[in-house]
Amino acid sequence: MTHASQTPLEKITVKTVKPTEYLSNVHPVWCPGCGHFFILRALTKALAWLKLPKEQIGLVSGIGCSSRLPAYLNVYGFHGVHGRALALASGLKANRPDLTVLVAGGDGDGYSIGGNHFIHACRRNMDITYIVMDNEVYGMTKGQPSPTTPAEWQSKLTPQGTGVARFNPMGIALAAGASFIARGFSGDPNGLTKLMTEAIQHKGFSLIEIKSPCVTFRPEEKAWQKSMRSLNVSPSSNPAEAAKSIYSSDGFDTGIFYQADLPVYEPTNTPCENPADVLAEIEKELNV
Amino acid sequence: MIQPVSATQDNLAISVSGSGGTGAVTVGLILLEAIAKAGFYGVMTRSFGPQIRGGESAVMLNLSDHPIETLAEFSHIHLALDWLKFERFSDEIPLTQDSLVIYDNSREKPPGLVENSGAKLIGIGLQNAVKTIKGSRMNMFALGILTQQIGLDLTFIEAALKRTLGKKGDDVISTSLEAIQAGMRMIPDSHYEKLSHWHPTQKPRWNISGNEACGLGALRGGLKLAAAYPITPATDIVEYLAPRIEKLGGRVLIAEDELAAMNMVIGGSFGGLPSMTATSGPGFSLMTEAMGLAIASETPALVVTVMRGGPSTGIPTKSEQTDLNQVLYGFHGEAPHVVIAPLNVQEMVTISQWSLGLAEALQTLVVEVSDQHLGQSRVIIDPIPPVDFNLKRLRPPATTSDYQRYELTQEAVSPIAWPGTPDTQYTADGLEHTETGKPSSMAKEHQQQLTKRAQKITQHNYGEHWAKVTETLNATVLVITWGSSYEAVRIAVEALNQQGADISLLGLRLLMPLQTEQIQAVAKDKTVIVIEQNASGQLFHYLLSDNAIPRNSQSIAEAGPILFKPSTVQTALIHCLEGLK
Amino acid sequence: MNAMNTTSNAHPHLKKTHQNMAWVLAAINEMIEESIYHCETFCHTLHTHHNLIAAKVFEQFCPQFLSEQALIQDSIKTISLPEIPPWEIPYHDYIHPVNALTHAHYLMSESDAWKLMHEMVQVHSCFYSYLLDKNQQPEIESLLKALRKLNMECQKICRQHQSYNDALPDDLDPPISQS
Repeated sequence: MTHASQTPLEKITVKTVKPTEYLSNVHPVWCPGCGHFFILRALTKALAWLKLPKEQIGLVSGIGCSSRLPAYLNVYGFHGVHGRALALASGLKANRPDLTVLVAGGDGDGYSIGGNHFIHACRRNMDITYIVMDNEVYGMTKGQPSPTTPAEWQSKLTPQGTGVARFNPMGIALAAGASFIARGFSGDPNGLTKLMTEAIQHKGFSLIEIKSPCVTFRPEEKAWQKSMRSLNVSPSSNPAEAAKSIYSSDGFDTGIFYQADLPVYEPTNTPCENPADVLAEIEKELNV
Repeated sequence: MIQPVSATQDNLAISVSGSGGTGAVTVGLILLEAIAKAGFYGVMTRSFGPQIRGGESAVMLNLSDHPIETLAEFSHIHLALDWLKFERFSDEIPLTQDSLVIYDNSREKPPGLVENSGAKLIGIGLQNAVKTIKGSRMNMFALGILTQQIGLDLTFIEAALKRTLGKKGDDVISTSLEAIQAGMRMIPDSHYEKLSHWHPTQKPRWNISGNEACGLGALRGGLKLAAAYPITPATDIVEYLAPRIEKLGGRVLIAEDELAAMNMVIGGSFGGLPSMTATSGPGFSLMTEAMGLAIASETPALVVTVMRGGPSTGIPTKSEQTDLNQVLYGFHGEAPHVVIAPLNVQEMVTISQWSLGLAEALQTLVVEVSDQHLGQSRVIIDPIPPVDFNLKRLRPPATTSDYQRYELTQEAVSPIAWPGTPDTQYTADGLEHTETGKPSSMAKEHQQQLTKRAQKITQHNYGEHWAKVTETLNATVLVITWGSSYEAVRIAVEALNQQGADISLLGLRLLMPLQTEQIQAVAKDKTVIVIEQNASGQLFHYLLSDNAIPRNSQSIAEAGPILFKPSTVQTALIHCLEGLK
Repeated sequence: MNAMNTTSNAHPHLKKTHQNMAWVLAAINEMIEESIYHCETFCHTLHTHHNLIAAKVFEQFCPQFLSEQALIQDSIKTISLPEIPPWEIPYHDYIHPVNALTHAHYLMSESDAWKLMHEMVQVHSCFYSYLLDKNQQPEIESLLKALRKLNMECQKICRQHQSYNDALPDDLDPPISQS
């Protein structure tokens, strides 16, 4: 990995790509204060830093506040159905390995209705970056508990709390075979940009689980700002060590917990020079 | 597109049954290939017990010197390697007093239903015969017996044997051949030596199953991605594609479930390349949400559904035309899409290619409806010549400014950009949207876009392929049918017409959008009878609801899984026609 | 303002090139760009949420940041700015200007909006003070002083407006009350 931070200043590269170039003319309508604004900004800054051509990016999402993301970017986007973004992105990456494929969504979309796809996307370890904006609540349907909501959180739907233990996205990702697992925080835009840059550059399935306060339905999450620690975790390529740091973290540590060089699933993609001849050969098998 | 075949053609029906490992299916496969090599045609269907391996199995062959796809009325020869659970096959292997039943008499006695059929029974010592040739298998003796009974030249059997078992090595071939020859001597008298009266053809022919034909059609159409989750009886399609699509620059993606499979198809297609999935009723149910996404986002997608008995898990291994309502109406919202059903295996290649092309050109969901019978029948057919439908995605011009993905156009099809092209980035959306793709809940935009999505489908000129219409001069009756019922109905109608009836026949391929005016034109001044293999008359009610057929039309609707035979259709038609008088 | 905890260890992406004119200019420019971008974005979302009063504060204040940027642009003329890795923080206790914006609310009052503005302006102020403290290069010093002068005026404006006694309006259609 090369960082310009290691480049002497004499060798100056002038900023040529601006983050705003990745924005569409549709403005976000998230609630003022929502963490997702800072995630969007961090993403465009990471893309600009990597100088990825806009047209070479495929951004797929499901349904939810966070899944509105593709509309706000000037890339090839797909705003699909609830929970299935990873499956759709897998099809896209299979047919178009030349594209940088990103997936964005929330905790409900990815870990509840899309839970099975999450497991199998990790297992497949295709070269896809999965950005989860985890606010521990269903915001779009106005405040129901999600898989990452604490058991005691009371809502209209769960007056006594959910009574159910929380889903551990990073633990599951590790067990399922993802090769890059990180936690970020929307209130740490610089750290988040770093994680996104690393995740996009990583060859394999990258999960960035981003804590992003829902200021409307979980205003208490604003206090995360006091507890989150900026990039205090150092990556391990050993799953046992990574498991230890994932399970021993109080949830406020950010950084890359696990990064390993695992086999990446890349379906065959060898262009056929002479399809008519190959078809004729295939049809020959049928001859009596 | 379809070669007509004679209604009165001669046929020879052979069935073989046996419990697991006895090799009944192998006998069928070699015999079908040998018959083809001898210059004839045939169709082979199979039936299995519920066991994964080692269960009872049976093959049913219907052979002729003309193309044939229908089930036999009864078995001329049935060979039982044993009688274990034979009752399971009583529906599929009808025996009459004209049947010859040959069985291994060293084991179980023939069951009562076989004895009561009046068939001529010959018991022979197959088990003992095996002991005479080291390494031989009972099924090869059986193959020899059948070869002798129908008067087939051994050279054809030998060639078919090499093709079918060639991979097992020369020793297996020579031992098998020895056993076949010994089998030929076991019952020297030939009871059904029909082949000598038939006219063999020298033309090249194909040995292909319906599911393989479907896969081949998609490959001809330029398929680049098949994403699927295993389900009976559709998996054969993907298994056929798996080793072949890669040679053509494509790939197979195994999904974690049908929800994923359908979304993978949409993602792959969004990437710019033709993509499909294959499934059956239960899988289709899981896919419907994402199919709505393909429709709303105008992403080309082909879904092949191979119907089986339903509802729920139903009868996975047997056929029924019972999912018509599902493929027409299974979606929420206004969801205009295309539904196409091939009428027989012969046209499966071309119709599948057409289906994929339509998905590409119309940028929508196309559902191709097959069923277990069409999909898993293996037939000998004349090779299907290539066709160029010239159905492709409309791309934006090279220099495009202010690109609008969902632009309202005259044809209602808007250019779809190839991801990777500068300046035409867009976001495909399942939310209702404006012409640019921006989400919108405004009435005007909803109406504009839903009209666009419907119009591009209804305005398209589907040409001659929408149906197979066979008109009879001065016909007073029109029979309408679809899918795998077509062949049996066609033969029944031809037979009745030869007996003086005046019946026209319409095999409906394009089920949606329904070509109502064309159907009305054919049905004009005729009494309409709709024939289909489901209990409630799904096609009948569909045609009535759209006024495609008159109010006084009649319905012949029979549940599966016992499929129509020409005789059963003929009887039902006569009954129906008498009721009309 | 609640600062995000940093560990006792050095921040992994802490930058120490504040003696370099080009880097200083780029780092300041980066910070101001962030403020401008978020000011505009929040102005828009407040508009969308029909809080025109708060939206107007963001809208009105944007030009102040733009004039800070104009000072930088004047100095840039002869210098090519380096591309700063977007994760670098200029000094250990640097607080990103957007931290304050987490406390935005769709029903925020005008004085609340000014308060957030003030916090953002203070982030700028802290960075300028830090650089003045560390830097002795004359051309940098004069620029920083000019920036700080402008910044002081901004702070003054913010303070004046915060004195409004406008309580947060009641939300008559609140989201369903949750715990």
